[in-house]
Amino acid sequence: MLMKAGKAAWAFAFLSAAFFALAGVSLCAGSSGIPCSDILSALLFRGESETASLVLWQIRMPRLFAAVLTGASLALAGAAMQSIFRNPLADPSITGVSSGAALGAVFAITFFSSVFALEIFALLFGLLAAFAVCAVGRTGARMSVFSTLLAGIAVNAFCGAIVGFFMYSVRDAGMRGFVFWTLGSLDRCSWGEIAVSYALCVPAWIAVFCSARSMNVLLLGEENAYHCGVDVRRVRVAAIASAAVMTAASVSICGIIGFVGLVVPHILRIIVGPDNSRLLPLSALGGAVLVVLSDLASRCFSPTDPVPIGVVTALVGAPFFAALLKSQGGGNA
Amino acid sequence: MLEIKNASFSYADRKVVSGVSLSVADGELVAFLGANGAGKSTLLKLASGYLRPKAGKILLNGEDVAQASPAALARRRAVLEQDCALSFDYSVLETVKLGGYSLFGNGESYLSDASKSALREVGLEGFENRRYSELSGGEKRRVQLARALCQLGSNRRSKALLLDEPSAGLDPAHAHAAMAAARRAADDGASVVAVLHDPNLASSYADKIALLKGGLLAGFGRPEDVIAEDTLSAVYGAKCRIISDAGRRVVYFPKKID
Repeated sequence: MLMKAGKAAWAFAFLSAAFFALAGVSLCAGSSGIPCSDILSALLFRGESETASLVLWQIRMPRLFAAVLTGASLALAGAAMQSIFRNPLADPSITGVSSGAALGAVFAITFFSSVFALEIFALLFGLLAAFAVCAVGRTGARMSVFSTLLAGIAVNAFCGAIVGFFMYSVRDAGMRGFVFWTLGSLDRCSWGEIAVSYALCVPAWIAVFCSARSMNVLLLGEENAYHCGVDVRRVRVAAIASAAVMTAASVSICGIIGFVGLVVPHILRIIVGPDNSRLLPLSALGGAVLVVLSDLASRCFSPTDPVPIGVVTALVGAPFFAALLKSQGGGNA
Repeated sequence: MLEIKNASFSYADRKVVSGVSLSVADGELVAFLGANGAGKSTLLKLASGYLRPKAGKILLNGEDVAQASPAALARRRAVLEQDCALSFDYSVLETVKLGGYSLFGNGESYLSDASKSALREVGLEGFENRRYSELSGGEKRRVQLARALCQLGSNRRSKALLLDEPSAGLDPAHAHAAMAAARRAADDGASVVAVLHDPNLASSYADKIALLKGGLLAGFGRPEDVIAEDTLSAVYGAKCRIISDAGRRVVYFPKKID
């Protein structure tokens, strides 16, 4: 156990260093060709270059904040879902919230032109999908894990089918917008949207962190957790609601970025063990690192027209994940 | 003190427990015996508060367990369930510590001491850093027993320990060790209930035996009063013989009753 605590400290140090290094590179790198010294001056509010200040505070900094929000929220939501459902294959989409939010966004893109319509509909549809999944998964006073997982698959398929129909129906230009949105993009984040998303996500982060010990005991199963003193229903509702809010809020500003919620907690669980008091903060940090890194990679690959970030998270994360699983003999953490 | 008062329970319209009344005093160990499906585990779940009786009441130290919060109940009783599959791989010590969820207010060192002491009680000292998934079935069972003992803490007076088949999957020596741990908990002042399948083990360690048949209480009393060939034959549907060996009565079942 001490060994795992030591590994957790090392993982925290490594991820923190990686995060600050990547954040620095992310703020300095871009297609505008502005020197790093100008960006640094703008960061310290000492710069004379208006362009540097504009690029830093209106483009790159919101992009970094959005990447952190999205990565931390998706990874935390994934870790919480894996604990609650006692299933390493669970991720934020299991509650149907990602596909629900995607449907809301596509609906808003098609029928409304207001700036906040997309965010509002993504959030609304995402939460509605999560509610539908929980309602179907509930048997009497208890929530059946098995039924909830199946309900999630059904809601995901249903929402995915409608999104597919919208994509099939529109012309090429609209199609490209949909594709970018359903594969995730940090290109359209503004401070206003980011502030709203942080206001929604920070309480959800705190709620999940506060449930860490209860979620540990839930890994013994619902009945044993009850015997140990866990109010299973309250913890489950709080975790699912928090995960739904975090996912819907991040999807509403960046679209669907897959893989983060599944793979980041899983990788970290292999390294530091399943104790949520270590796993949850590290997952938040690891998620932020993966999304900032993927954003950077997508911009390096094509500076003027970045590749959808969801494509990059999978390309970066999947080989690393596979190698780690192989080295751990199947990853039975 | 644990009191089961006229408790009944049914799954849909299948009655599993019918009007059972019995009590387990502080310092007493009561064994539930009966054939498969007799209602032993359901009665234990009712006593734990996990299931609510359709009729009757379960009182722990005079308080209705159906009205108590999970946290309040966990400070007064510990339960070993039949099944416990861990989803992710904890170490043995981490698994035992999960039982101390309700003791967290006592501090990390108290919890650590309680966990190590519980592991010693079940003969698993030195296993602290082993991975749970790498243990044998019997060792896992003993870890789960240690988890329940850890939850009970060091002050066991007026608490309840409810064990569903604590000897399942254990070799004879470890089955005796598990029951000896349950006996010690009773001697420390706890009310202990153990669901068992071996009448000899029950007779060796229990103060009283409750015989269940078809959800009904078919007998309740001291082992020497309850353990009888006719009664056990009727309860198990197998021919029962009792022989005397070095002053002890030994129960065996030579054949099934057709």
